Amino acid sequence: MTMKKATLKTIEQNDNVSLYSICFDGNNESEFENFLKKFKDNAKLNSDFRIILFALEKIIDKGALERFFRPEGKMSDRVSALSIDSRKLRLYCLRISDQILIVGNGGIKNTRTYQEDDTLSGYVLDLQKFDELLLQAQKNGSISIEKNVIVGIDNKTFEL
Amino acid sequence: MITNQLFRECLAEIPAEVRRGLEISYAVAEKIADIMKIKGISKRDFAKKMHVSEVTVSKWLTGRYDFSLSQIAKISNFLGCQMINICK
Repeated sequence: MTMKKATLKTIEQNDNVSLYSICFDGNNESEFENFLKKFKDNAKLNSDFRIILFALEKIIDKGALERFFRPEGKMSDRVSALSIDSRKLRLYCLRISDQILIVGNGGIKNTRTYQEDDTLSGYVLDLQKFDELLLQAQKNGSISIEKNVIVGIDNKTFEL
Repeated sequence: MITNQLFRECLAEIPAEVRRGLEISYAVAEKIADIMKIKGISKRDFAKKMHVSEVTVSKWLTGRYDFSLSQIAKISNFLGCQMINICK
């Protein structure tokens, strides 16, 4: 299995909240920016896209509060989704705390579960693997979480 | 403060009336969450009293739920406060 190299990019940050996203294989464009480019000109999904973006704006303002998210992934991981009731577009994230959110990629869910969709399950799997590596890095002291900042993340490369 | 240009450009494209509608949904969700906290009402109890599922209450609290006026009225009634105030 080919390993992917991943780094974390700061997307937005204020005194209270940080939004990060994952960049793969040395690309400067993050998974979240790829999501934005994919859907920003999609007329059919415009409404859903705006709602999800507005949700992120609220998160930057109020914090990554648990109630804003829908749990995805397994019970043991921190993978969540920003989705809209009975609509198809979703954006997968790692909710680290009320003050730190790692935004991944997302797409249209046409299957009953994300596991039945190769693309969506790939996005979730990437976040799950990253979550594991992040926890390991915290454990070994190479990164630490301080309020709204992941300290030591700037020059760190992970292998997924 | 760090901002992302592409994200901000996308946000700027949200029409004013859409934004206003979303602000209302978020404000209602926040008010529900605040009163539940103040009164110590769990999601389970709230769901039971409102005759809905806990999943539905979770959806209300996301801020992305499209409330009907009758739902807002029922919630206001149960929680004992105005969810929305109309300026005269």
